[in-house]
Amino acid sequence: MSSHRLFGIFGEDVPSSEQEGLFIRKLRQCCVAFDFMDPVADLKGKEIKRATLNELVDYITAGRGVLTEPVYPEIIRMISANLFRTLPPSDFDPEEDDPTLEASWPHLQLVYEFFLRFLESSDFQTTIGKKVIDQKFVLQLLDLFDSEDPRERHFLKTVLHRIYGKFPGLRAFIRKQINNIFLRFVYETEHFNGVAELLEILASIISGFSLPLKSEHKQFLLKVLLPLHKVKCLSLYHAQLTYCVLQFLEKDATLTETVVKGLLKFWPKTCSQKEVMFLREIGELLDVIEPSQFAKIQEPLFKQISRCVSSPHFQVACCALYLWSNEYIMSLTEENSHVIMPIMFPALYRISRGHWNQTIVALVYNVLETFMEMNGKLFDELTAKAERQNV
Amino acid sequence: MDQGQPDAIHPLITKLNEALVLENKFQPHLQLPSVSQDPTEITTGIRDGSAHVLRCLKVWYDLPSDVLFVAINFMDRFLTKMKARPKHMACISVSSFHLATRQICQYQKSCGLEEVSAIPDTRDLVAISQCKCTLGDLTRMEGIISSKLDTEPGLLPITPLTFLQLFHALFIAAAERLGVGPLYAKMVAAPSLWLRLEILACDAACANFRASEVALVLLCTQLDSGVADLGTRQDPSTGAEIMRLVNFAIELQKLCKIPDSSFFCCHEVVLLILARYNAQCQMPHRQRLVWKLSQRTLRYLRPTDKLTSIMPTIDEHGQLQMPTRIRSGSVSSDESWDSEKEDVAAEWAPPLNPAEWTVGAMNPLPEEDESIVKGASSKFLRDAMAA
Repeated sequence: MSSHRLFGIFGEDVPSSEQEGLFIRKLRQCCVAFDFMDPVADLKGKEIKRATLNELVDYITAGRGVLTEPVYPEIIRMISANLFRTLPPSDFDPEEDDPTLEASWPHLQLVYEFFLRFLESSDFQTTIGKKVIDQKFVLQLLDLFDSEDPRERHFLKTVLHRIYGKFPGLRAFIRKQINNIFLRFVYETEHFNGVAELLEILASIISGFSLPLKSEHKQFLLKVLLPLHKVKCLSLYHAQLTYCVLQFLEKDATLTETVVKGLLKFWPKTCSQKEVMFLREIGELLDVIEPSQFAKIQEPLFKQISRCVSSPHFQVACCALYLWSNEYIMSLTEENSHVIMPIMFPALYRISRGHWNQTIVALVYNVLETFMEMNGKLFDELTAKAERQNV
Repeated sequence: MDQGQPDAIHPLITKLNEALVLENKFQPHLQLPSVSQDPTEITTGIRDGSAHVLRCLKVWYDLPSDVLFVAINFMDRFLTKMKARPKHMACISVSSFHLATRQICQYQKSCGLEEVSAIPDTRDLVAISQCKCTLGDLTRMEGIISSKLDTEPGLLPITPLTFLQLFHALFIAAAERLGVGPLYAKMVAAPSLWLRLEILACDAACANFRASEVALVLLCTQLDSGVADLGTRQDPSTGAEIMRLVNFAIELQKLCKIPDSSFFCCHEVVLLILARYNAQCQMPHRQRLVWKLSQRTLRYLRPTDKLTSIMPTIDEHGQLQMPTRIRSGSVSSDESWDSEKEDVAAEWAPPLNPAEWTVGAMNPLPEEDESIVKGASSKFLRDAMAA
């Protein structure tokens, strides 16, 4: 039910002149915390808070002129009181375990909604907001990204996105803090639940970079994004990471060499599941690569791909071979057949002589036939060479 | 010149004459258009595409050149006799290939050869070649081809390779006799000779020339390029030696009764085909291949496929623009930003199934699951093959 006004504790009408005061009183009311670990404790109090929060969400959504200067600090105080808490220590393994969901979610959800409406309100004034949404506040917000509860992280993601968007003065600070979180994650703890969400925000930031790209941003790609590929639990955020990398390349295609060399440097040596991820990322990358950039990285890249084709792990070999089902990659190979075919041929020839897996054999045949159609003469030369070496 | 040495040439000439007698019996007369608006017509391009696939299969199964020439011979003669449809081309060509391997294997056994080529397993052949027909179709087609062409177990078709092998042997023997053995060996090498002939066989432009003609023209072409390779530092004696070889070629041309006009015509065609091959061009007619992967592998082949929403771009030097909220107070879910849609946080319902929490976790990878094929079905072979 929408409301342009707040009602008193007994539901009575309150005049406009007193709305602001009522608003503040209700906000302060909502600063009281409740124990949700005990499901039967204080049911009435919890319900009152829930109803009040709901009322406040409606009020801030529908009301006009409700965001007066005095309410800003009160709002932040209420939000801080509810959100900022030490997260419980956890040995949660995101790849294996189910997350422990936030018990106080019934209230937390409403606080987050309220926060979002606040930030997105057409009445929101950045000049007043920046007095209360400061670096200290943002820092505490960032800590919450380690929450196990994905619903909380989803809200946090949107909230931080809006804050970054509205407060240019905080942007450098936010980027620096995210950097720190990632570096700590990569080089010290390998644990942080909010990597995917932070990367989503970063993607929207990267896509907004102006050209020419600042050196700071290029350094971020090299020193933070690429090393993020190293971590064991890459699967949790690989989609978002790939997207960030692609956004960078869309901005500045000359970064391709840096990216590919970085991926080759961090290429998984023992984990085949990670290798499959890397191959898929390479596939996406090649799909949009510029021919001039392709020529620069083809030799080291296809040497790695050749090793993947020979991998004892079936899915690694499959993903590598499947690259040539892409017409664009095919055409790039054709343009550079004199470089790529000699690199790929020995592995392909070896498999053609016999492999236990029928899918792989069929894919190898496809690639070989494709090569033959691409450059018959070179194909014949390489076949003759392979046969001589085989004998 | 032959100081009491055994006459190597004479038996070869006998064999040549035998081949010449049979030559016409195995001569195809293709009448395929180079282009066609009619989708039911096989063009030279389609035929060539199939020939190249057979060449690839030959390499794949590590079979000798003979297989390819016999297979192409079966295919071309079949196309000469029957008006077939493009959709049957793959079946026709692969059946010809399998039939050729069987015939050659039989022939080798009957000659008492120790090393006999292995016949590819039919099921494997059907799968690898992607000929889009069933095992039964292939077997039936083989039978049809065999019957239409009246193939005999002990008699292999006479192909350009038959003649090339004979000519090459004759040249070696003659060169020895003429004292230019080493020169010939330097100018003409066997493996590349067969290879180039294969390239010619895969081009419909050569199909209607006599087998002996194509072979002799190729050999002369090879001699020509051999001469060019020798360079300009020839001394007069080399020139005279080369002339001996050229004269021998002319002798063979006379023996085979190849008129000059025809020889030159064939020569033009051969040069064109070899030039294209040397230019390392892409083939115009490529088989549309099916790339088969398991469901599991295909899912999320592109990592970013997993992303369900993208957040609105924040300009580096600008503010994020927010549209005005709808004043009804109801929670609206279809906000649209400047760029893309974004999940409104309030509308988002978390997946309650715990299994979905572990986003992106990859399970251990077993053997391939259900395969899914991106290409066509395998229904096939009607009686539209009736003469």
